[in-house]
Amino acid sequence: MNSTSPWGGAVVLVLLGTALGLATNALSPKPLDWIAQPRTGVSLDELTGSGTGGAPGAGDRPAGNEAGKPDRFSDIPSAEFPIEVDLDRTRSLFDRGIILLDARDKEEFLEGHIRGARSTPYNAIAGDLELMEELASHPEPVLVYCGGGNCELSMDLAFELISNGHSRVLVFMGGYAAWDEAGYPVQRGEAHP
Amino acid sequence: MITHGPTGWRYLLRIALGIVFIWAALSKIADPAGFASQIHNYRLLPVPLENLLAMTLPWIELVGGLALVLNLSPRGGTLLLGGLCVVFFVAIGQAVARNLDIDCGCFGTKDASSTGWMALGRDVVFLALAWFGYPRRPRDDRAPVTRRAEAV
Repeated sequence: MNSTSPWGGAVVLVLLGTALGLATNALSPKPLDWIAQPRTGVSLDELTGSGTGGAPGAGDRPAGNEAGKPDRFSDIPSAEFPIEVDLDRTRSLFDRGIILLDARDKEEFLEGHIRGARSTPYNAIAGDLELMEELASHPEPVLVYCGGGNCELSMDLAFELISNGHSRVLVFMGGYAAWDEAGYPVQRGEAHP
Repeated sequence: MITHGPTGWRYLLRIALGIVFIWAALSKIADPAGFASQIHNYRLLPVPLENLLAMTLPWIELVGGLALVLNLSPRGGTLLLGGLCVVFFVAIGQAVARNLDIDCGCFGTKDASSTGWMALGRDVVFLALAWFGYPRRPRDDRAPVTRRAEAV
């Protein structure tokens, strides 16, 4: 395939590689979607089949995880996708002491964050495998948020935690903007215990 | 008859570059979904195109690498892989500039190296292999041959 034109040779190689890649995907038992879709989660209400928010009722699934330790969040099911929650549900979970992860950049976190949240800026930690595994190893659910609106960082962090083994990752779609607007507890500066 | 070998060192550089890209391609081909996720983290492409790139780029790397190792297309293959090195330099460079500490994805999902100056430096080395390995003269296209003296 010694072409006199190197550009022609390069184009042929690109076309050949492209054809092989597309053909391999078509024949693969687990093909990628041809057109990638924006990452989304599933609604908690859809998962649980209920339309109510707030604290768990008396008839919810039996509590308890490893070694009989009570599970404070037994109403949160496991899922292969991030579980989307609204403002009311987020406030309820906040009152119950859920672990909060702020996926925004550190500077935004310092300017204001949900009280008690931990700064986990996705853009800065996505390559930190050890930290991802540590975050994913929490036995209780974690709730991730970012700026709200078109902010994708919370969903990206949630998918990363799930790929590292966590099965109960919630995403507050309204983000810090909605929380602050509602007048709920916030902090500025570094996180306080 | 005495046959002269071409500048064999360029051929060896191309071989090295081809092997690197074959190695990089195989790990990505093994986990296209993981590679797509790494592409997503660079935040360079529109989301709808990410999977298409994840499907095709590793195979383009593989074909380019094989073209060099098997000496099937020395010029085209070197041009292709050198061009990819430039693209990767830009992608990693913008990640460094934006403080994105993400998986490089350079050698697939098992590659724990993140974007940063090390990844940029490594890419510069590969680009140098392409630059110096590019055949300058027609005989550079050929694999080295040994001298053979004609028996008298």
